[in-house]
Amino acid sequence: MTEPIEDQKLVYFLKRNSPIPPDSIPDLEERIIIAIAQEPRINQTTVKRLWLVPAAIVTSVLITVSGYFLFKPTQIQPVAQGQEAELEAFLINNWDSTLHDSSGDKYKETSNEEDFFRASFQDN
Amino acid sequence: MLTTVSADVANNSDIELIERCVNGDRASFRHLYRRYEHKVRATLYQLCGSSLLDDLVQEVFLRVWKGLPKLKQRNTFSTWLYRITWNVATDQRESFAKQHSLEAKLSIPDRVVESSELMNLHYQDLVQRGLDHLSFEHRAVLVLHDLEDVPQKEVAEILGVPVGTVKSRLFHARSAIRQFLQKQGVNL
Repeated sequence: MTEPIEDQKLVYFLKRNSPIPPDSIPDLEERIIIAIAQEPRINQTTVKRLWLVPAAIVTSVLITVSGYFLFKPTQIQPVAQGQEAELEAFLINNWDSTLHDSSGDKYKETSNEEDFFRASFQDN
Repeated sequence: MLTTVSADVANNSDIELIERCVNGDRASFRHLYRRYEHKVRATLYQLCGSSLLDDLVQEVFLRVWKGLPKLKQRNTFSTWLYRITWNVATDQRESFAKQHSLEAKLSIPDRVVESSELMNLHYQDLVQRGLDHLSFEHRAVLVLHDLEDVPQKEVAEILGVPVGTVKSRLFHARSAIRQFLQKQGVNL
């Protein structure tokens, strides 16, 4: 797009008379080269490796958290007062039914042994 | 032999020089410096004046050296360089402006000049004063676009503003400096 003629004239005048910067000190180039030599250099590899730091931190945190939940010992819930009696009754009933169960042949011998022991106790 | 190698390096493209610089080649950075020193110096001078000019140029090129490894789009080097120049100018603006005005008050011409040269100096002084007359934002757009021939789109990237804002600032900057120059008797 062509600029208006007034703008072109103005830009021409500005360019033609734009202030000329004073010459630099003679050793400015050397000064800059010495200054950059003293700068610690961050090369591309370092920049790329810098990304590994947050990644490693995140990975460590994830491993720690998941390890904590994975290997955390499961706590045995204490049995409530009412449940304790209920559980005891269940165990006794279960035990008794196991001892007095006549339907299974494999328990018959045990049952007979129990009777024998009871009888010997009563005798004494 | 050394001269030939040096000349070869000097003929390299910006991208090749940048690549070498990133690998720590300071000789290539020297060529990059020589290639852009004038533009950086002129821009800083037009934005900030002469005080501390060498220090500001050094600061720009130090930032360039440090920042080169992080420059992803190497074909946009010149825009990036202007951006750094703008940042350095902005950082130094306030203290710089104070020093510049003091220096202007104390400056004494150190030589006798011919009449035509005197006229040129007069016009240069008018342009300098005209630029000083503008706000920093308007001056930056005028310097980059009209004096340094940076396209509007790149000016927008350098200053971090939309292209529309660049157009608007350019319009107002030109109007203001034209008005200033006409008041000083310049017929445009």
